[in-house]
Amino acid sequence: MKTYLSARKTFYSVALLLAGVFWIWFSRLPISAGFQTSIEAPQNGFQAPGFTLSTLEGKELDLEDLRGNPIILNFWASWCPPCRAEMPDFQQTYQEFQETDLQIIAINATDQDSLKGMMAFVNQHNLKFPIILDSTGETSQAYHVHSLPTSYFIDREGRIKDIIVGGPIPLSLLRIQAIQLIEGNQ
Amino acid sequence: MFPVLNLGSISLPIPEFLILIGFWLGSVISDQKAKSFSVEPKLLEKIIWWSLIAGILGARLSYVARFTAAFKGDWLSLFSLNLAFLDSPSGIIIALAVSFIIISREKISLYSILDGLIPFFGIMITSFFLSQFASGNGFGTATNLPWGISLWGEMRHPVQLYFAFASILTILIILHPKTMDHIIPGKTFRQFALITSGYLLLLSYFQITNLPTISGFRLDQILYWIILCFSLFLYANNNQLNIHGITNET
Repeated sequence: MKTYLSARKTFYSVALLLAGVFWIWFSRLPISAGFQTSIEAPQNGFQAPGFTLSTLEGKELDLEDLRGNPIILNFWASWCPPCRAEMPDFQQTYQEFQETDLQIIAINATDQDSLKGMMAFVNQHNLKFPIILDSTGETSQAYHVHSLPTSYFIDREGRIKDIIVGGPIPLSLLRIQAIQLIEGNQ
Repeated sequence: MFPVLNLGSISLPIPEFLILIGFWLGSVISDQKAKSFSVEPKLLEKIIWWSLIAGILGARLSYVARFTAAFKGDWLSLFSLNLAFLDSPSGIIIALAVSFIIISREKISLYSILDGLIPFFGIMITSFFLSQFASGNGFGTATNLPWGISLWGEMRHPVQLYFAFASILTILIILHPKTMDHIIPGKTFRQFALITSGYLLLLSYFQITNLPTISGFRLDQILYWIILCFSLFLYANNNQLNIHGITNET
């Protein structure tokens, strides 16, 4: 009886494992389809949604043109206290990593901000990195920004490596994220 | 997706809030069920809380040790509440080490303690999947089914809810009074490991993975299958693991 139960147990165990192997084979992804991470989604490990927005100088900035560079993307507004608090640290990071190919881009939620207030803040803190204007709010929607500030850390392949919601982000964390993006080991 | 709940000027991060709720609820239910597994509730509380504290401290210290130079001129950020300042793998290892030290001091079967912690693990896993649903992480493949949710430009399986439902079902099964009859140490743990690895393997088909693949085969599914193998091995053998040695019972 004991042998029979043991044999039955073994049979069911092997059957379950083989079913698992079949399921893994059935679930496999077509090699031609490439990685699922080529999907655009504002989530870790996936392609950052593309956008083309105007800079303060009136030029157009397309995210796709920056492919190959590590990017720190920061959504902000001038009325938002933690956004204002962390901007000087973004400026310092920009200066410290100016000799590298790191790109820091601040996307202003212009649809919910005052252009005058934003310009005054930029001039007051002498921000030198690109400030781009999300006038319609479409880019904020594409990135599902529900809270300001929100920062995205994007690698050279355009994949999001980290997302930080809220702030102010400490200077040390910005430095660490910048180093990891540049070295490509996040 | 419900990443934030805005209450006036306060933004409550829903994913993190769900994890906290899961932690609290898991601790409460583990306490209540502890006696059924012949474990003192206070011992389980000790393991859970000391592991958590050690894990968080260890994760923070490891992170600082890796990137000490970056803190130059910004040492106050060592005490920042920002969760990005944590080295998770180190934190997990330290938490496990502390648990092991606490357990090794008790003259009680490791399997009994693992059984006692299963309600906590089960509820934490459920809250993890619900927090993924809230944040939009771990999202599903495209679908035309009527219960699909619109996410990232497509209708998708709410796979995080599938996982959460399977997790809740697992807890209900293993904590059912009929299942809790005639408990032998390790039975609940083995059942939990078997069922969990099974549904993870099955339902991951409906999930988009951001892990690499090997010739199209998903790494996450291979990992779940390995855990399933191990679970079956444990389930098929009625071994009792005693912290002071290994004894066989057939």
